[in-house]
Formats: sequence, structure tokens, C-alpha cells
Amino acid sequence: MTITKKITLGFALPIAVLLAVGGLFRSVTTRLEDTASWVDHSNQITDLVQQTLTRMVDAETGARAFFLVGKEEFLEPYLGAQADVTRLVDEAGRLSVDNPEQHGRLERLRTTLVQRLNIVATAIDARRKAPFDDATAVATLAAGKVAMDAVRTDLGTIRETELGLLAKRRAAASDSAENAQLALVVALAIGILLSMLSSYLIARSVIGPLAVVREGVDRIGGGDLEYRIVIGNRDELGQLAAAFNAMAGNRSKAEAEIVKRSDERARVLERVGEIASRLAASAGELQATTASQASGAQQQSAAVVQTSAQAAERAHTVAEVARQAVEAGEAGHESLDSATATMTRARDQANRVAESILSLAEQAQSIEEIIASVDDLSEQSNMLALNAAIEAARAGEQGRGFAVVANEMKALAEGSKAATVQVRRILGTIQKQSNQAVMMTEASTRGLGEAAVAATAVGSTMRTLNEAIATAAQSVGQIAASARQQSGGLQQINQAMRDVSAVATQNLATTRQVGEAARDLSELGSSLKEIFAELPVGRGDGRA
Amino acid sequence: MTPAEILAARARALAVIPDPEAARADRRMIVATIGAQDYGFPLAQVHRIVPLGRITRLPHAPPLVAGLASLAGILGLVFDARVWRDLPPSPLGPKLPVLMIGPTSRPLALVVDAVVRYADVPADLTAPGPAGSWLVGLTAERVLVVDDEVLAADPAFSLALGDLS
Repeated sequence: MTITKKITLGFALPIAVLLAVGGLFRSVTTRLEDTASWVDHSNQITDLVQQTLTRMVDAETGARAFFLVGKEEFLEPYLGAQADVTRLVDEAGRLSVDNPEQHGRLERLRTTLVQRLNIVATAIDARRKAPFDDATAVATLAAGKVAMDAVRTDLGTIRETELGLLAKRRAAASDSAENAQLALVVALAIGILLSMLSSYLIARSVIGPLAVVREGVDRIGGGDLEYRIVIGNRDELGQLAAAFNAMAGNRSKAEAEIVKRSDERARVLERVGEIASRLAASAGELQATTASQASGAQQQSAAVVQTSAQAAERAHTVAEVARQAVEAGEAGHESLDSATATMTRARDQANRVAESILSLAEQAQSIEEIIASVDDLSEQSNMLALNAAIEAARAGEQGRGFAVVANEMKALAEGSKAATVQVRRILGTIQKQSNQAVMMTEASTRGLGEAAVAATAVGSTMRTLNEAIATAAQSVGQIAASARQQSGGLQQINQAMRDVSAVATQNLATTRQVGEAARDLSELGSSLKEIFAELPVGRGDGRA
Repeated sequence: MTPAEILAARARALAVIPDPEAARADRRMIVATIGAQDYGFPLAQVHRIVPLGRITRLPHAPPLVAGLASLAGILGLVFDARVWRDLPPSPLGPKLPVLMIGPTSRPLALVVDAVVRYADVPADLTAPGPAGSWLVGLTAERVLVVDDEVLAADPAFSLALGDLS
């Protein structure tokens, strides 16, 4: 449990106890108010009963005086009581509705009072008509006394009963007040005990581990980086201890890294000293090398100029070839477009030729029918010629000339027959060749279609090729421009090489200075090594 | 050959004086093919050649009878020359030639495979046939010359055209 939760719980317990005490106090207060209300209720009824008795006594006294004297002014108390008695008894009856027994007594009292007042009223009327004699006066007064005694007794009973209830209610109120006081005292005592207990527990769970953390922080701060704070808490103190432990671990690693780097620095300084010594030795060699570089730079300058000229010339040649390739590609593409169009037209023409050949084949079929008719006619002619010859033979010598005609007819029929045979043979040859022509045309059309498709593909390829050639030509142009720029650059390099030669000459002098500086550097390395050796290296005080 | 040439040839033929020997030799014949053999039918007894046309086969008729047909307005039986020559029956067709042999009133109708030509009957037949036979002889061109009258009198051909009319 976290410290926040513990503190929250420690405050929550007393607050809960206070809330319980408050609730109890409110309950006791409510009960006391109820008891006081009932006491007031009983007092009101008692007071009303007392007022009723007073009014009735006044009414009886006034009436008796009127009976004795006969003066109307003595009836004033009676008349006032006659108006108030009924109201007072009704109000007392309304207040005693909760007590059926008391309410019944009041109802009966009201009836008795009304009857008594009516009797008195009757007597008053009689007295007004004539003065009472002694006997009537005594009887009337005696009856009034008896009636008033009964009324007084009833009112006394009611009053005593109500006073008894009042005493009980006051005793109950006193008991409630005592109980409430006791409950409040007990609740406050429990609240105080709970508050003390929660404070003790919170302090115990926080203060102890806090002291452990404080001790650990002191030790780690004192340089004991291997010390670790060990507490079992899982709250903020536990997290704080873990953070301190992690910090101590990181600090320990950093110290080790600092020591390691200090050693490496010492080794580097030693290495610097050695290199400075070697540098001094190499400075002499560098002088000779620098002189050689100067002469080499001059030779390279001449070679660079020659290479630059050759590169520019070759770039120009390549650019020209690329331009010719672009032109050839464009011409080839135009030729291919023309060839594609020509093949398309040839395919259309081949289609039309195929249609014409098919029409020709159909017409040849018609010719075949005509030949069949001619053949039939020739056979009939032949048969007619034979019959003519028969008739000529029958005619004998007179039919000789007719026989010649028949013979000629037969020759014509045979000639027609032979001609039809020959025409049929030729027609067969035509049909065969037309079929072959149709098939060849079909194959040609198909071939032209495929060729057109292939030409279209070739066109696409050539278009791509042209684009590639154009791109290549553009690239070649850029290369030529670059070559020209390179030529200029090489000129600059040439100038730079000359500058290098001059600088190399200067380097000779500088190299001597470098040798001297190397020696100074070696001495400086030794001094640094000594200085670093004297420095503390992060042990004990926690600083590097 | 043009019509003028034909007329000229005809005039030349008519201008020739008849030769008695030639008149004797004026025996001509119709050469018809039956199977693979040529047969010569003398013109004097062949009075007409007509196409077969429609023919009606007769049930229970002998194989020699090809059927019943109307030829040149005459209703009668048609005989199959191939069956006569002990060959398989002819595949009858409307264009097959029919030789009408014998007397005009009762001609014998004989359907043959083809009528190829007419030719002269040579005086000297290389192989004259036996007496009373329908075979007159064999020409140098290997044509069997038929005696139409003997053939028409053959009982096998007893019902000639016109007998049913």
C-alpha cells in the first residue's frame, strides 16, 4: 500500500467515526424534539380542560345569581361560557385524537355540558317568566350543583389522565437524553482511539523505512557506492530506495569507466609521444617526397591536358553518333508506320480478293450447272443425230444427203460433248485453283494481320527504342557538356598541379618546421602524461 | 468447223456419183456398248433410239425385263441388254439409251449402256457367227454385229412394245 493510501485511510477512519457520531446526535435530537412536542401537546389539553372548567363555573355562578335575583346582567358569564365551552371541548377532542380513551371522555363530557347548558337555558326562560318560589329555587340550585359536581369530576379525570401522560413523556425524554449523551461519549472515545491507532500505524510504516533510506543515502553520499538500501516496502519509499540503488550502480559504472578512460588516455599520450618521434623522423623523408611530388605534378599536368583534349574529341564524336542514331530511329519509325499502313491496306485488299474469288467460285458452280445442261443437250443432239442417221438409212439413197447432215450433227454433238468435258476439266481446275487461292488469300490475310500486329509491336518497340535513343542522345549531349566542363576542370587541375608544385616547394620549408613541432609535441605528451598521473581518478570523493 | 464449211462438205458429198459397190457396202450399224463389249445393230432394223425416261419395275418379272415404260408414245416392256448378255443388271437411269429394234408396230426395246457411234458394217466379217444365231460376225474393230430380226424373234423377248397397248 502506498503512503498516499495509508494517509488517506488514516484520515478517513476518524472522519467516518465523526460522521457516525453526527448521525447518532441527529437521531437523539429528533427523538427529543418529538418528546417535547408530546409534552406541549399534553399541556395544551390540560390547559383547555382547565379553561372549560372555569367557563362552566362562571356560567353556573351567573345562572344561579339570575335565578335568585332575576337581573339580566348576571347572565353575562353564562352567555360567554355558552359560546366558549363547546369550542374548547372540541379543540381538546381534536388534540386527543391519538388517544381513543381520552377522546371518548371528551366526547361524553361535551354531551354532558351541552345537556347542562340546555337545562340551565330552560330554567332561565322559566325564571324570566316568573320568579321561583323557594322550593323551586332550592331544587333548581341543588340539581345544578349535582350537575356541576359531575362535570367537575369528569374534567378532573381528564386532566389527571393527561397529567399522567405528561409525566410519562417527560420521563421518556429524560431517558432519551441520557442515552444520547452516553452514545455520544462512547462514539467520541472510539473515534479518538481509532485516530490514535491509525496515526501510530502510519508513522510506524513510514518512519522506520524512512530512517533506513536516510542511512543508505548518507552512506552512498559518503562514497560507498557498493552499498544498497534494503527495505521491504512497495510504496513510494520502496521506489525511492530502488532509485537510490540504481543511481549508486550507475555511479559505480561511471567511476569504473572514468578510471578505464584515464588509463587509455595515458596510453594515448604515450602513443602520441612515439608518433611525434616518428613524425620528426618522417619529416625528412617528407621533404624528399615533396620534391618528387613537385616534379610529378608537372608531368601529371601535361598528361591531364592531353587526356582532356582526347575526352572532349571523343565526347563530340559520340554526340554526333547519337544524333545520327536518333535520326535513324525516327526514320525507321516512319518507315515502320508506312509499312504497317501498307500491310493494313494489303490485308484489306486480300480480303476483297478473297471475296472476289469466292464469288468466282460461286459463279463457277453456276457454270457447272450450265455445262451439265450443255452436256445434256449434246447427248440429246447425239441421240437425235443417231435417229436422223437411222431415218436417213431407212430412206435409202434419197436419205444419203440427210445422212451426211446427221453425221455432221453427230460430229457437232460429239464436239459439244468433248467441249463440255474440256470445259468441265478446265472448270474443275479453276475451282481447285480458286479454292487454293482462297486458302492462300486467307493465309495471306492471316499472315498480314499477324504481320500488322507484329509491326505494331515493332512500332511500339521502335518508339520505346527511339525514346531510349533520344534519352541516350540527351545523356551523350550532357556527357559531352560534362566532358567540356571536365576539360575546363582539367585545365583547372593543371593549374592546381602547378600550384601543387609550388606548394610542394613551400612544403619543404614547412616540413622542417613540422619536424621541430613534432619534437615539441613529444615533449608536450610527456608533460601531459605526468600531469594526468598526478590527477586523482574518481575514487573516494566520488569525482573524476 | 463453221456452218459454211459444213455446207460445203455437204455439197461435195452430194456431188459424188453413187458407186454400186459402195451401195452394197451401204450397210450401216449403230454401235452400242453393253458392259465392256461393243455390239453393232444394223440400221435397217433399228428404227429409233430414245432415252429411257421413267420406268416402272414389275414384281415377279424375269430379270431380263427391266420394267414398264412409255417410249415415244408406246407403252411396253423394256429389256435389259446386260442381263441378256449374262451381266449384272443395269443401273437404270432416265438418260440411258434404249434401242427400238424390229418392226415399227412391235419394236423390241433394249436398254444398253451407251450408243457410241454408227459405222459401216464391213462386208468381210472376220468371224462370222453360226447360222441362225443372232450373232452375224465380228468386225476388225472387235464389234459383235447383231442380227436384229433373229434377236427380236427370240422367245425371251416375246413381249414387244405395243403388245400391251
